[in-house]
Amino acid sequence: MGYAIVPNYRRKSILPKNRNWDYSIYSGYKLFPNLFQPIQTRKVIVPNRIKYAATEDNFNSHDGFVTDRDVAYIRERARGLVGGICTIQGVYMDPKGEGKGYVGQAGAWDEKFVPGLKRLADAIHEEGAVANCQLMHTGRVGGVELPYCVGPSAVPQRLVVLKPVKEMSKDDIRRSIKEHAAAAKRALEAGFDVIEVSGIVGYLISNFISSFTNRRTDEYGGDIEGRCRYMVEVVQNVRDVIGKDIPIFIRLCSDELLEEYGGNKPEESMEAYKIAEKAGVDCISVTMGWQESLKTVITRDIKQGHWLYNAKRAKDANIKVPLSMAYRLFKPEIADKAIADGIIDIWELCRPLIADPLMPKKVLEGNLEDIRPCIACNLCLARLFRDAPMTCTVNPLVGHEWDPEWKIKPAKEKKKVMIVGGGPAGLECARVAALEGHDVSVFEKRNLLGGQIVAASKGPYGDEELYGLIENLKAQCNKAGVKFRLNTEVTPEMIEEVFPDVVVLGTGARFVAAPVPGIDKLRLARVTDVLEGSVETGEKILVWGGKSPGIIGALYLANKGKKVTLVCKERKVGKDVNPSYVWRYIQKLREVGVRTYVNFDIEEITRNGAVIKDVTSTRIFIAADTIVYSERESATDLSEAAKEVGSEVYVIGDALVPRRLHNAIHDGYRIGVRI
Amino acid sequence: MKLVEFSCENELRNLLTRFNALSNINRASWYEWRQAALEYARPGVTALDLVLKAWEISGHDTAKGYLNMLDKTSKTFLEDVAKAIVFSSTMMGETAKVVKGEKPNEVFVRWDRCPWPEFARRYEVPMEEDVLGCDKWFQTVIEDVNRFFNTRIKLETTKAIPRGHGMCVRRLSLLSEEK
Repeated sequence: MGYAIVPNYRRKSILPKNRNWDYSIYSGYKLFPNLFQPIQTRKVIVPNRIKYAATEDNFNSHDGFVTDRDVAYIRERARGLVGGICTIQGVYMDPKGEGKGYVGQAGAWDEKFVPGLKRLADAIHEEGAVANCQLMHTGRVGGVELPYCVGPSAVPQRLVVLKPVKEMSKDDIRRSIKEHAAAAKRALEAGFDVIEVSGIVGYLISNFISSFTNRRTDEYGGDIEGRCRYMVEVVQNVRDVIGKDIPIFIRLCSDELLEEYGGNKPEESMEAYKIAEKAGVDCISVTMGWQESLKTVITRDIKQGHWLYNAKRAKDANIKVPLSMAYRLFKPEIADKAIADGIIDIWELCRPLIADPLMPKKVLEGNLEDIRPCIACNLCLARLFRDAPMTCTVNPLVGHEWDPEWKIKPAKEKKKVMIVGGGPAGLECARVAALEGHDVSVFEKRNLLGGQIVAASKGPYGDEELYGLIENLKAQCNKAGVKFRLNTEVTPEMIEEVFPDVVVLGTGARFVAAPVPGIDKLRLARVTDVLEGSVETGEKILVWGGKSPGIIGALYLANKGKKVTLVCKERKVGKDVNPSYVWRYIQKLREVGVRTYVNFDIEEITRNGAVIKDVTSTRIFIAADTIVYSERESATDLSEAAKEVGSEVYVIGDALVPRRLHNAIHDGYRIGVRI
Repeated sequence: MKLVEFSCENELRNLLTRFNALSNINRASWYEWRQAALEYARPGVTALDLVLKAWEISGHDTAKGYLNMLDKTSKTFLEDVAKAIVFSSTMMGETAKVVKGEKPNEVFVRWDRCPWPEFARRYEVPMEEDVLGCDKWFQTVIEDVNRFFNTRIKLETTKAIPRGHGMCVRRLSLLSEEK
């Protein structure tokens, strides 16, 4: 079945009447008219083109029951969708948990899960969105609580965190197909409007489709048609139980990016699309890459909208069902144009709605400056893959939506709050404290806000996106009535003069060069000064320190054609960077020829370079004309002065302990609600 | 005659790369052997039994090296034992140093970094097994040193990285001159 644009989306629909949205009265409708057009698929009419893509969150119980935490999380996303499609996390469907890839994944393998699933569907409906239940057998990414996982063939794993694969017998396959159908039936009982099947990033359906992981010689293997048989039978069996009115969506790889392992060619992926369409799916979500792929797909180095060419290939291949797409498609203007150009039909969002659940609503209202931007740091994924509840760098409320303690609420007593430092920690604290009703002033010694993000956003490979967060924080602080005093270095006397009730020190970390012998013999430069272009360097650079500032500095300099050596004491480069992002940094360091020495520290600096020494006392001389230092230490200098005035004193962000951006933002938020 | 192009840095880099790879292979092999031994172990033998036995054998071997290095008449005998432990640990990729105690006849060895727990985690081995195995190794070494030199050195594990302490600390004390 094809689809049709429905001019009057208020016509009879299986959805409740409270979804009669009139978008035309909002300014965002004029800016992005294509995002707010209805679309019908089978009997489901969706009033706009926005879809929240399924996201595991590890918020549910280990035995698969839905929790209050997950319901509150989903409700918030549904609220932001202003009528769009809200997909719940992929549910696992087998009692053994072979298909379970995440410890907090919701289950749907028994009737006992229906009430929990109904709570999710009800929450979505109460917020006026369309409820989509994703069925997800995670295949070779599964068996999270078992010593093995299953797949079409026992192809060894590349990633150490994944379990050894057990080849599925035909009985296993048939049972798994039936489990999909049974779970779909339960989803309907729970009240979902759409059923989605996950066939991406290395999960079971994609394992069957890929020539990399499917080496079978029976009817479920062989050519692309054989490899797609499992998907086809899943779709057909689901259709048999859900009837003809309910749409089936599928997420399918358009390009596995697994060429080096013998994965499908993009043309074969398009064949899979055609087969899926023929099998009766009503919408295909176009995806890229596998978890085992060596190529970056969703990090900042990939330009916004980069992957749209894959959706276009699908259209060019004459795929008739609507196409949806996420994957570095964060900007409404790009999505709106892609819909206008006929490349996609539905804008999917995953991480941007983790970062800001109300994003589509803000787009509709034309309040783009209010959108808290996702910075594509993948902290969310890193947490999931390590069995931890999901969190977000820029949105401290993720996973706490249910908890009143985390809400911003009017202050019982209005306080005069002096925030020292206009970096991310200080700005977030200022925003939250001002929203609670306090009288908040931010003092910043420089003439611009952003702290270390100013320098960090000068890094290569898309790091300029980091500054978008500062722009958002600035705008929100202004709206909340925060006063700014730039070019103002706070002294103990000034604290006495201001006489605040509360002092929040968010002055950031201090960059330090350890006093090694010969430190005065060579040009020394602080990494932030290098990134901001306020100091010159030579041609042969030794970057001292392998945490994120050092990595960004090294990449920046190497991209400028300098010969860069990075030396760090830790066993690994990027010890402070989350595992879902650090591999991309390491790949880039290699690509641009940065030599890295781990387990080393500088022993002595000479006129021509530095002697570095490792933990086994092995010494190497590194020729260099400039040392760029990037290690940091906390800076709490004003703390005592503030205490003497009698103020409540809080130290937040890197000023407390040099860490990552998410620590700064979360510190700022937590102290903001506590004041 | 054309000279061979030669870079000291490259040579050392290559050597270190191989050394680090070999160290990792060594650690991985430990856990792989453990797995194989467990599969063939007679009924009733636990992983901890095997691990303690293996570290005991290893400890006896290590002690042989120490016996040639140490001199009982040295005023710094206890510190020398600690230094030998540091030497062994460093060779295995750990970061360790000797810290003098406040009391006479007392020294500490402190490890700020150890790659073993990471491998234990990778092979899904309980962290406590790592602590007890390590301790067995040291106790065996010290027992052999004591037997050989007729001394009464006591070794106590007070902190352990696998227990989440952030560092390993072992206290060495010389209880009396002779048994």
